[in-house]
Amino acid sequence: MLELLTLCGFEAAEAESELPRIERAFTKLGIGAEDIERGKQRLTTYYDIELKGVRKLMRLALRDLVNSVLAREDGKKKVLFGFMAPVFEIVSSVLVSHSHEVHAAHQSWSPLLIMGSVFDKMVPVLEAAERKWLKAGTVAHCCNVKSILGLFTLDMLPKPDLLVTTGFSCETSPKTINLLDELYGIPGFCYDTCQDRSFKTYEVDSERTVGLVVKSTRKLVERVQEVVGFELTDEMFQEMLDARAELDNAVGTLRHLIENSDPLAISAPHENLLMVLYALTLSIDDGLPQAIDAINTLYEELQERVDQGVGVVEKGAPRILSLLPAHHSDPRLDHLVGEMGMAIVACDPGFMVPFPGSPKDPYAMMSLHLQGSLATSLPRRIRLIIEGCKRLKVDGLLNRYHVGCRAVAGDPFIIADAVGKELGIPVLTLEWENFDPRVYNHEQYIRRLELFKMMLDTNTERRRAQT
Amino acid sequence: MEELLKLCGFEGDEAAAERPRIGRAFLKLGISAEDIERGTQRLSRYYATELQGIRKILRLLVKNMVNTVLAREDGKTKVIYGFMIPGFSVFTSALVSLSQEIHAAYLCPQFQIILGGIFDKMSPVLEAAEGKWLKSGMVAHCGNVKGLVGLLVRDLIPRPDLLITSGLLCETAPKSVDLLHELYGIPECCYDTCQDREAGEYPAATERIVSLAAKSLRLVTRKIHEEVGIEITDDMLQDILNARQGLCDTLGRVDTFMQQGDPLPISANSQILWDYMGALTFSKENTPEAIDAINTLCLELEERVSQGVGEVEKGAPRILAMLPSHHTDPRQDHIVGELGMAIASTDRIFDTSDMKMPEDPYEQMILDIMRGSLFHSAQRRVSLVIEGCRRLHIEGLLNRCHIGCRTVTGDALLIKEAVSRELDIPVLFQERDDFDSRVYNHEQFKRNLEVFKTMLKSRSGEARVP
Repeated sequence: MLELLTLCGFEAAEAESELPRIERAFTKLGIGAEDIERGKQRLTTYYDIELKGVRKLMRLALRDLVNSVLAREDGKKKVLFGFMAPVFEIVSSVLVSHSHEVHAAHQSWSPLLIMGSVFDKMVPVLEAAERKWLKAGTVAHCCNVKSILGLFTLDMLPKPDLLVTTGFSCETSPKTINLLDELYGIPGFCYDTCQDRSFKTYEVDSERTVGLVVKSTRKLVERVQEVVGFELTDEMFQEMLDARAELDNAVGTLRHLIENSDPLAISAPHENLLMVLYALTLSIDDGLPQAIDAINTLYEELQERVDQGVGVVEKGAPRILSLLPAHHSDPRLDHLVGEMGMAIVACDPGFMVPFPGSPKDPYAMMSLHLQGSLATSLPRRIRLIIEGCKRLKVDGLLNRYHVGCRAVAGDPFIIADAVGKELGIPVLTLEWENFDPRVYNHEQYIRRLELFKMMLDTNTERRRAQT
Repeated sequence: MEELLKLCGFEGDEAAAERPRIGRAFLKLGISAEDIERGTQRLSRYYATELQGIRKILRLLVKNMVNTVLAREDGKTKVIYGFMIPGFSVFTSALVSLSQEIHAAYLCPQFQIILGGIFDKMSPVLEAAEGKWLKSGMVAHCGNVKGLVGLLVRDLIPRPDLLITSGLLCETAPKSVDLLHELYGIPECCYDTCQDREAGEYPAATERIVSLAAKSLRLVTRKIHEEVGIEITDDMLQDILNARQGLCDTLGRVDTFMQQGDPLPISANSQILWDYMGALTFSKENTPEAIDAINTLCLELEERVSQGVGEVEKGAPRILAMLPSHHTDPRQDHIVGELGMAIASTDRIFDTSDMKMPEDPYEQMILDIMRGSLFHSAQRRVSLVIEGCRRLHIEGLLNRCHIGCRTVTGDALLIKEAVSRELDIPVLFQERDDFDSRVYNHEQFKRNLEVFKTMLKSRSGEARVP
């Protein structure tokens, strides 16, 4: 276990002191000695664990998971969880910055990373949800939603005093939170907006959409205040946003370095670490400085790799833009792409539509995630993707879509069409489940990626011949 | 064809006059002589076409479908479609009352009932959509959305000047309409609301949601104004709402006969026919025709009830079915009656009528639909179902869930648990796609129903739901 903790960035003294808590949490999560062995192997296979920055990121995610699992044992008087609720990480960070009696955390990013990607232990959680109302088979509910239900069903997470969600990108999530309230007595809260933005009047409509979510988020904060018993002021949120700006800048610089590196400085599964980091509750005087330090450390290490021409694929490998984030509970596909000599340089969720003006209201600033690629209308998303492809000079598009989400499952056809027409680069459309390792089909993926690589190589040769 | 038209309520001069147009529309839809033969058989087998009311309703549905298919040939200069959009029939009825150059149609019930329910010809339409971006397999997009996309991509209906949808019940609908705009250049608009209500906030939150949806819907009518040059005023809407009130009242009476008739006066699969009358666009002068069709049915059902005539035996177990009858496949509701069980009602018509009707016509249109069972939170829906079971003395629940909609599929378990706990009546779960007959195994469903019937029978000595 200590070896695993070292791989996850715990220094010797901290590992010793945290060991009993982590063991208790692992027992609750059903992680045994055999799993730990497998976890160590997977850590070294799929992650650049030799990089201190990566270890530091893993440590933050592991701590987040353990703190959530043990929140009640740790004596937290109020426990609040967020699920598919952008903005909640800011609310939770403000909360824990002002009270040690509150535990607040987004679910289930850390469980998916640690239990899924590291230990390969998410399947029993998903199956537990499937024994309830979320279905496999033809309905095939999203495994992200299954993860939160499964974690509660198996008593891996304590029942919170409030479970917060939104209807921004999914209707199954609010529905499930509603059912958790009904069946398990977990108080739920959903905030939302009205997504009737028209393509032609997008800017004006976006102001209205954001304006409405601001109102709904204020209602969320009122509810949170009732639960925790103290006031959350605009100044507190502004202070948190100002402090997190440093993290935003650090991550932005790191991403820029990765996007422009050749050979690719770090493999694609690590994108999931950045995604998890963004969802973590980071107190202003403890978690946030550690997160910034982790990113800065990683940046320095990757800069060194870039300076030395060291990378995870060959120099000149085809550059790929990948749609949707890296897999949340299974690093194998993203890793395989690298193994086959292709460099995933970016994913589209980070692309944003500019918002008119600069909002001063901290609630409006928090709500700009609605301008992100996955929250915007398809024509806007396509424009973002095409601009991104051009800016990053990518050679191909990995057009993957999440089968658990019927809303986005229609996009790949039109994206492939638009990218093919405008950029003439190869597009590989791939059906997958972003949260379910059971859909991974190694042989099939290899065959399709080989074909894709061949198309990329042919395209590159043709371009070279033309120039 | 003549016999088919007769079964669909076209008689005498009208049948002769309409036949060429209907023939042209059928040709476009790929309905052959063989299909007409099958359609005639299915009409007689699955629908109570001996009732004039049913024939009159079928006539209106056929006319609506034919008018939609031939809208451009008929010289309509503006064609507007609505899809999964409450309120559409009201504001478009105002439009077509003002201009004969406009054709407006709510899609796709008329196609699902005629092309699917009667001719069993919806599968190629769904497959066409699956050839585009809507998927079968793991994603299994909803058959209703596939219906819309399939009709358009196969050019079975003309491309509209405006396609309107909403996000009130579904996110796949606005998404698909967005894609239709992107791929085929079909102008579109969508209205929505913010569904952030909790059970404890009821009814204040519903008022807020309705009010926001009404604001969003006003943007839609503004868009229509831009598109067709006709302004829809509040007075016009109120006028139409008043004119259609008679239709709503009569539809309510039909439902009452179904709920109270013993024996059940008409097979449950006919329910889908009148269910959608409220969704059709009628000009003010055509509205009486629709009211007459429902009134005729009402009188006929009243007569059947008074004579003790019905589709199943008197005293047959009374069933509540979740969700409306199947839209394209009458076999699924018909077999329930054949096996001697009476679907007395579906939960679709349960609503929370304790909310005061607002004065704003837009809010009236929205509230009318949003107080219905399908638009409520799971908790509220469960309480409506339990109240409905008690009120109607229901003996068993046919707990169907539409697999094309991941949102409602979660409700089934909760409903089953609550109904079993509170009412202790048998519950049969049925997983189906409400718009896709391909996802149906007749023999298996029949076996399940037989077991269900045995459970119901074993309770027959016991008292009904108190």
